[in-house]
Amino acid sequence: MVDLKWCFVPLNSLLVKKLVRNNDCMDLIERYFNNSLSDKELVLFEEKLASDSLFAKEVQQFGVVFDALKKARVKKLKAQFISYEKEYNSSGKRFNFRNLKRRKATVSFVLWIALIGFSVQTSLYFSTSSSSKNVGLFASYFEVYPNVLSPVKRTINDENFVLDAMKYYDAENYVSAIEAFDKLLLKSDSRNEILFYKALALMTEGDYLTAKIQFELMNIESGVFVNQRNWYLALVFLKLEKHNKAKMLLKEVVADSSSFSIKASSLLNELSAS
Amino acid sequence: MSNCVITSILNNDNKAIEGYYHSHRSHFMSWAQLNYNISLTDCQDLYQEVMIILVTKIQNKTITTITTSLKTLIFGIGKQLIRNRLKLIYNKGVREELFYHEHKEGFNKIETDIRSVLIMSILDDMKEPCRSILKLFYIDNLSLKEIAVTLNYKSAECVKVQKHRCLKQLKEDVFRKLKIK
Repeated sequence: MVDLKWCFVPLNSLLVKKLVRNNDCMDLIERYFNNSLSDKELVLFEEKLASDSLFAKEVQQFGVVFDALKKARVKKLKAQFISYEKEYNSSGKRFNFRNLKRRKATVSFVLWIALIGFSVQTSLYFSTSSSSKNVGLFASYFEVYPNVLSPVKRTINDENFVLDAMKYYDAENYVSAIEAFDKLLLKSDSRNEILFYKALALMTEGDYLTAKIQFELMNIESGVFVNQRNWYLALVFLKLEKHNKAKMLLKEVVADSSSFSIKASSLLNELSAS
Repeated sequence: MSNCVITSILNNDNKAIEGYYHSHRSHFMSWAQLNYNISLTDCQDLYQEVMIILVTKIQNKTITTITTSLKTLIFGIGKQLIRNRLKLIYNKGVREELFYHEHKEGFNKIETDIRSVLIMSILDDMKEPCRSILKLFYIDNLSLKEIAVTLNYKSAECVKVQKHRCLKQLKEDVFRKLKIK
C-alpha cells in the first residue's frame, strides 16, 4: 500500500526512494480516475482528498488533463469509425456497378442519360452564382437544427399537427414536413417556430430563396428563435453569395454570445480572409 | 467467441474492430430507424457512439467478459443511448432551455472543449520522448510493452516511470498557461 504522505515530493529531488514513491502516487491518481482502486485504497485516497487541500488541488488538476486525453482518444476512435462508414458506402456503389455491367443495352442507356444529366447539371452549376468555395464553406458549417418543439409546448395550438410535422422533420422527410408546416401557418399562432423549421426544411431541400423569405417573415422582436434565425439566415446569404449581408448577421450572432457565436466568429474570419 | 472479441479489442486489432463494425451495422441501423424513427444520419452517429463506448469500456477493462453475444451487447448499449436521449428530449427543463436558447450547460461544454483543445496543443508542443509516450499510450492506446519496443526502452517499467514524469510535466505546463490566460 502506498503511503500517500510521500506524494508530490518535488521532482528535482535526487533521492531514488522519493522518486519511486512519486511514481506510485501517480499510479494511484491514474487508477483513481480509471475507477480501478481497491476499496481500501479508495477509502484512504478519499480521506487524503478531504484532509489535504494541496493534494486535492493536484488531483483535480490531473483530472482536467486526463479528461482532455480521454476526449482526444474518443475523437480518434470517432474518426476511425467515420472512415469505416465511408468505406462501407463506397464498397456498396462498386457492387451495383458490377451488376449493371451484365446488361450492355441497359448500361449504354443509363450512361447516355447520366452524360446528358451531367452536362445539364454542369451548365446549371456554372450558371448559378455559387462558387465552389462558398459551397464548401456552407457545407462545413451547415447542420440541421434539432427538433426542440415536440413533445409540444403548451403555448403552441394544434399540438397534434405540430407533432406530425416535426415527425416528418425528424425522419428527414422534408418535402412532407414543408407541406405540413404550410398547413400550420394558416392557423397556428406560433409562427416564428413554424417559419423557422420550414426554412430549415427548405434549406436541406436546396431552396434557399424560399428559405430566406421564411426567415425574413419571422418576428425578430419576439425573441423566439431569433438567434438561431440569424445564424441560418447568414448561411443562406453565404449560399446566395451575398457576403456583406452574411457578415452583418454573423457579427450580430457573435455579439449575442449564443452557442452559435464561436462558429459565427470562425466563419466570419474565413469570409474576411477570402 | 466472446473472449476473442475482448482479446482483439484489448490488443487494438483494428482489422477485427472494423469487422465487428461492419457485421452489425446494417441490422442496427434498420432496427433503430424502424423502432425509434431515427433519421439515417442520426443512426450513423448513434452506431458510431455505441462502438466507441464498447471499445473504450473493453480497453478500460470496465467490460472484461461478454456473457451474451456481441450483437446483444451492441443493441443493449444502443437502446440505453436512445433512452437517455429520449429522457433529455422529454425533460421539460431541457426543452425549455433549448427553446429559449439558454445554453447554460452548452457554454460550460464549449469552455471544456476549448480547454481540451488547449491541452492537446500543449501536448503537441512537448519535447520528445514525452510527446510520443503520452500520445501512444493515451490516444493510440498502445500498451507500455508496445511503447517500450517502439521507442527502444529497456522495459515497460521504464516507460511507466517516464510516462508519469511526462504527465506531471504536461499538467504543470497546462496550468502555467491557463494561469497566464
